Amino acid sequence: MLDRRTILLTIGALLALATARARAQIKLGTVEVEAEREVEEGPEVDAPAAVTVIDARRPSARVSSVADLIEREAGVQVRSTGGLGAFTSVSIRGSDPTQVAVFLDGVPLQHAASAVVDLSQLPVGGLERIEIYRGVPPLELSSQAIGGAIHLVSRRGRPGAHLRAAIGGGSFGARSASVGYASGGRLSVDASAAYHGARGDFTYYDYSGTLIDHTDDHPASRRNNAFDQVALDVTLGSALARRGRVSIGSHGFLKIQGVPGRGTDGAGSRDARLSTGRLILDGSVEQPGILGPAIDLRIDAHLVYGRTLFSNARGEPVGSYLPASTDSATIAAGLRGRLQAAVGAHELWTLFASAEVEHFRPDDLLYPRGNPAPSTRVRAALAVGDDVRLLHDRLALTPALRLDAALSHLSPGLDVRGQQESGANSASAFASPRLGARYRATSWLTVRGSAGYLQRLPTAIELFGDGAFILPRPSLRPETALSGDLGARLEFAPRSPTLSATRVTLEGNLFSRQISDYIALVPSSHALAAQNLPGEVRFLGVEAIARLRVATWLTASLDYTFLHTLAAGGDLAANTDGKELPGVPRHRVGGRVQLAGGPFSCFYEALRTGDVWRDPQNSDGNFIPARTLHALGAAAGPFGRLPLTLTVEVRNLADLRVVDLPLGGLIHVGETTPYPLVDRYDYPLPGRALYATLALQN
Amino acid sequence: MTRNTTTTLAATCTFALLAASGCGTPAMTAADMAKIGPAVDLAPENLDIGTPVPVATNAVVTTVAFGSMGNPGSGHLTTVGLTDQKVTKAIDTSIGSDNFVRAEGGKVLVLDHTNGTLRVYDPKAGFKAPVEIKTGDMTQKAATSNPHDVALVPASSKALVTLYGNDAAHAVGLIDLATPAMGVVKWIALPQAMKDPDGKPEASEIHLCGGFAFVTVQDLDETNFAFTPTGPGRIIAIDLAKDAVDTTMGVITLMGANPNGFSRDGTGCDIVLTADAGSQFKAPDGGGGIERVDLTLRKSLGMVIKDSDLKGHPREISAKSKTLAYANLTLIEKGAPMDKFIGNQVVAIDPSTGKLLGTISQVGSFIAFAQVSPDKSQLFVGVHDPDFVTMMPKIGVYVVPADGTTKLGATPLDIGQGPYAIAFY
Repeated sequence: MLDRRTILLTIGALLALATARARAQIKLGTVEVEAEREVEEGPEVDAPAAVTVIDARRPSARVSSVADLIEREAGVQVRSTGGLGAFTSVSIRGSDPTQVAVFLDGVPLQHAASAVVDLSQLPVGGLERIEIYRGVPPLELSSQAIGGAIHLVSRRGRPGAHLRAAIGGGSFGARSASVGYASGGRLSVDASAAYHGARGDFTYYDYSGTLIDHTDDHPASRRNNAFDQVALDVTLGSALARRGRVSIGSHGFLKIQGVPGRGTDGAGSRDARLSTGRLILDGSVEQPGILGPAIDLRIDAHLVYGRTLFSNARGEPVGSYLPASTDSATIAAGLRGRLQAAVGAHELWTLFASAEVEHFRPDDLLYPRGNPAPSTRVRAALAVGDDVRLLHDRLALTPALRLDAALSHLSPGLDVRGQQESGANSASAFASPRLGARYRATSWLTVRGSAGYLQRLPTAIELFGDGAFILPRPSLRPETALSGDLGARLEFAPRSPTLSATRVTLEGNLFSRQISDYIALVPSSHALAAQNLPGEVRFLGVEAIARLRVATWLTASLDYTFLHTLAAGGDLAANTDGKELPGVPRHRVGGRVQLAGGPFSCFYEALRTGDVWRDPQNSDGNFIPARTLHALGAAAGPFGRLPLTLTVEVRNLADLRVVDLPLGGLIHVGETTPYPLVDRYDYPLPGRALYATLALQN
Repeated sequence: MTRNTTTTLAATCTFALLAASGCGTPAMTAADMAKIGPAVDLAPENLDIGTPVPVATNAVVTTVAFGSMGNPGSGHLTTVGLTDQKVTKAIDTSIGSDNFVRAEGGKVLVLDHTNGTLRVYDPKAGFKAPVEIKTGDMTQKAATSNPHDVALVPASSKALVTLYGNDAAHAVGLIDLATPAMGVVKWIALPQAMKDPDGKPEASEIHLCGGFAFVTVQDLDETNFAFTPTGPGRIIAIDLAKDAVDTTMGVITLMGANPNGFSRDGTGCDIVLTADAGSQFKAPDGGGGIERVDLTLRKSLGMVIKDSDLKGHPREISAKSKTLAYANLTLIEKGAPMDKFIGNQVVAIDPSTGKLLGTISQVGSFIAFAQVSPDKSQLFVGVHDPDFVTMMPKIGVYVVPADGTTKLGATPLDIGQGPYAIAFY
């Protein structure tokens, strides 16, 4: 639980910081404290595709990464290995986490070496907003995004001088501190530094690996689950002649964490460590009217260096359970260019081109002879799109075509029986057409839909193996997806002065996705190997989103997702044809109600996740039962000229730590057994947790 | 049983050499020990102790859906009638996703490699209310024990469990079924191989014969992903009367490396075939094969057929008679920079001549088992994953006449999930 010393230190430090800030104000003269501006109008309203925009600028001790901000959104399912800072993957509309592409300011974070982007390694301190594209993503974010895309948008400098700082603490040793500065003008700056950490030693229900025998069940404390992370983000922007703009950004991240293991009695670790470092350098130049008054050019370049060290010197029961010391590095460089030309007043053409080269070097420090050779992948894309406005701009059509090509190379040559005997090169090219449409039927009703044909290339590990438990499969084909959605958005805003700032928004979407050549890791007698599944995997669902805002005192939201998944036309594993995918709930609903009065507010949140199958055969009784997690919080501030806000929130309010797991099979009909509250790979989740954050923001 | 004092001393000295690299007299070789003779009388009349096993009428098959994509795996328990081939699926769907099954003494025993548990089912009671026992104790945790095989000690409530994940001092656990909450009640240490750096003997399968439990010991180097054998495999004899390694010629050094299962070579239990998988991440090089062992003389009788002649590493061996046995092979071809995994294939061999008689199955990505039924009439082949190009053989359990020539049919029995292990009761 929350350490009292941590609370006192937190409050003391924040008060000291606030006092210092007050002195700075006096010295600088009058500085108006302004409420944080609303997130700039994002793509949520105007885009033909379904997209959610989340404000990422609310500091909280319980929010260490992107993962902690998006869990309640429609269509989104995050799964973690338990606790603050733990590995977290995201699925959108039932996709596999490998199929969700993640970008930071347009820079792809999903690289050839890693199939899944760990959301817990994406800090939020330098972010302004998070855009979640649940359907067909924009032309520039399409690469690899067959399961949707998440675009992280960095903070930009803004007029004036703005200081922000926050400090917080919470249960299980959670602690955080961040500071940031933004200024605007001809040269705009936003700089932020953030630290998050936690001991992660929450108590959970340990069933000791015996589902039937309860005599050995006991409460246990999570060990080796601590983490420390720092993030530094700087963006600089400057105006150029003729409304042009240049900007550069630097995003550094370092995280050191324990790798706790499953956690059942004796299956935990003490020393296994994972260290992750990443540096992203990016820059862009925008120049309107470069080749004519209606032609705009934007060029982006980026350099990414990532490094991951894993150490399990004693062969503790994590990873392969063997002694391991690995050091892998990825370096990527890319260039993107976009030309936009307005044709008349109602049409905008976009020409987009990109190229990126990635190099992945794995290094097994204990067993160098077993190292896979370095992999290199070159990708290029060329895309053209149109945005046509018809019927007095009420109808927008956005047809587009994107061509992607990739060449993957592993040296020296590698061959696998019957499949690409001649070497390890893997080349593919793909055309991806898509169409979006949006129709504003009335001032309060917008109908929109999108469809597209996308692909995801296999990762280096899926193609070439890891030299250990994943066998090479160079002939692996890219996954392809045919996606589409159709939705309507209703927005009511009464014009009565007594109901100013009151708004009701209702949104409903039907969506479908059909994936061919679905890539899954399947076992052989020797190890795992990536394999294209025969047949198709289909997803069909509904999203319902409601937003209510009544003046300044009430805001409420409800996000519901119904999802039906289906493995169809193939039966790679026994009896999976026609069955639902394991781990994907049919029903998921998240809600939030916030009441505010003056500087005070309180909120309640709930997230209900329906039953999820534990096996691809959907065996009777073999599922994790539905559960609901509650949260409650309150905030006070800012107070007049004192720009401090104190937020206290309780997660997992009911302290749910044990669920009744059905024991499936003919001999267990109707029987359940106590089982820990678990998530990804059945790793335990924490019970009730309290967090407090004191933030200064002007 | 009688004991030869001289032999006992010599063997103790040999164990001391193995364990502590020091002994007052030169170490004895296996040949030396063979000359001395057996430690105990394993004449046929003294073999097959315990109550006679009733004729099996059913096969019990464990299945697996491996965990992936963030989801844990699962396993089922299923039965197949030996005469009518009636399948009763999903009797219990709560068993581990990495499991093993044995049937002894009228009980079905299921091991969970991942969590370190033994479940004891009584088929006569409809498999209901299984007993669950940890393969560890307070100090040596079950979760990392990786139990590989279990054998009930005749005329007792004891069971021996080989613990692949444990060090030499805890390589075999003794469980008292009468006190399931105790877990392992006694540890049986196995002598550690000198060249094995990981401290784990990798104790694998158990074969009961003449008051002894014979345990295959693989001595693999787990400090690298290749699981390289550190030397020839061993069979270690545990004296069931003492619950300790037999101090009289207790170690049989094999010719091949990485021994897996046993199969009787003939009707007695004292002459067995072992499947030595060798260095199974490399193309076969003669380091493994099918080996004949005399448990009476406590010595290897030599290779029946080498893995290089089989063109695959034998994962298991199941004999119908002295002239017909089936081996489940892992096929690895020479390649660069690394050798290539091809798949699994079941072949028939003649152990009496060491001849490869022919293939029984197509190459599958994962053929989990190939076992002859207790009445020697049928061959059960469990295909967990087909070849991913040909999609053959199909997933399920094939049942064919065990005549050495009949190949797998067109359609296997559907047992719900991919089959993983089999036993007969």
